[in-house]
Amino acid sequence: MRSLPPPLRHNSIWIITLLVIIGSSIHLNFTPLSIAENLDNSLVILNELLDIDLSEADKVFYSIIETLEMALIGSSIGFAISIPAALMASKNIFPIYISAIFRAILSILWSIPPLLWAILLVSVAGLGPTAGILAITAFSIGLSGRYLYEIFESQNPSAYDLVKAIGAGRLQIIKYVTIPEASAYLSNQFLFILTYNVRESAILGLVGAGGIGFYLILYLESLQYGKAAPFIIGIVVITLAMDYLSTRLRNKIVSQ
Amino acid sequence: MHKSGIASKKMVTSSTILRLKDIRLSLGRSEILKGLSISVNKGDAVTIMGPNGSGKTTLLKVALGLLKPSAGELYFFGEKKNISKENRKFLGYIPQNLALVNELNVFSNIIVGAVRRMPSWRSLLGAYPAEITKEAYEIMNMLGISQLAQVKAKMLSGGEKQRVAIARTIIQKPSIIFADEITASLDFKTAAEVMGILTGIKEKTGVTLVMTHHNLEVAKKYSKTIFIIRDGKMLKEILASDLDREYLANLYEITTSAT
Repeated sequence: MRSLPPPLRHNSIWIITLLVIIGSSIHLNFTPLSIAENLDNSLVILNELLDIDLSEADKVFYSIIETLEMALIGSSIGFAISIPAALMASKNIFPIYISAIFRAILSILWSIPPLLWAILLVSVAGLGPTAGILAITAFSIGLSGRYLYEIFESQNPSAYDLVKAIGAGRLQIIKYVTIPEASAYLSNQFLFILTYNVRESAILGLVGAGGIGFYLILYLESLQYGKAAPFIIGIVVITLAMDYLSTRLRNKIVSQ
Repeated sequence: MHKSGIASKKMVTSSTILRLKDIRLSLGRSEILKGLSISVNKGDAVTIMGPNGSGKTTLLKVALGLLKPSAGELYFFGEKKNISKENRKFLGYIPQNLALVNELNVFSNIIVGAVRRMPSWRSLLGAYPAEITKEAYEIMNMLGISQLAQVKAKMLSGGEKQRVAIARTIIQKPSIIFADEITASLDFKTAAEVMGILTGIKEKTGVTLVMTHHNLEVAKKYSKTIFIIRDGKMLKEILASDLDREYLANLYEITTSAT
């Protein structure tokens, strides 16, 4: 690298990145032309999608409600479990042999995407929203727990020292320092996972785990694009609405 | 330079409440305390002085059992002791940054000091014994902060925060209060008020005060004995009345004109 002229040397990271992108595209036979080649087909589907069929509009409404309920229940249970799990995973509260175990559990829960959880849980809990709620719950524990233990560990160590010096036990430390100091983050974190999970819940129906995605895949697979279109619009609307609402709420919490 | 002062290896008497003997402590590669000994009599007010990084806060934390020394012994009331959760309640601590919990109100911040005075379930459920709640309000009245009982700590001024930290220590009913640089961030008037409160408590309850101060005048005014440490070692134990700026400057190896 040292023999390269300075412009190449200074930009080497960008040049390497670009080469990796080009190499990957060649490896996967991906060229912008592949889109153009299927343009006719794409236009046909787009045309059918735009021919919106509202005969199933009531189902859009009810499946949106079901999706929101799944996200709310799964997020709430997952979030509630993630708090004690994150406390157990915090090195400043529990000894390393306990925290290490809980960190591992949280990482595993988080590393499996909700859709994969849903596939696994449909085979256990059967088709329907129960599997979806459980999938959201499992993922939320990991997602929220990993974030929370980092918050807990970054708290002011002198407050911990002080209550330890007074002789407070672990539960008292959690009550008087950890939870109050994290209170602002807790409500924000719940809103964040709820918003995230509304979007995730919308596609869990693809594998039969309830919610709006169930109808979406039903009509897409039977090539009834016109009927599928209102469900796609429904997903866009609830995702954007949740994002807007949670941003408003978070700003309100921060300004308090 | 003054010749007076107390012999640094004074006799350990029955009135000795705290004695640290040959304390050594390393953090990482550097040795912070290098065989430091100190002994404090019951009911005294003493100040530990020394330049930044000399080991003052570390020494307090060892005495409080928050840091475990690599060598040395701790004696409380003449008995060799390891500090544990059970016997910590006689040690009060006001750290330099006060360590108030910002999101808790003043009452809750103070009641934390009393957690060892009630069964755990009571503190966890917030079902505080009536006499402790009453005591908390009496202390707040005494310190003039009762109107702030329901105010979150983050809303308080510097002087108010000091009072809350002092109240938290008073309700603990300790035998020794370790106060680390508690006037450092205060203006002259507030610092005098805070030290006045602390001295008043000492006179009323007979509690022993072990403080650190940077300000020589504050240290002289409010303590009987001053320990001067440097580089983790005890340099001198001297009566506060015998210490002056020139003497301190010589000990710190700095010229008087620079102080």
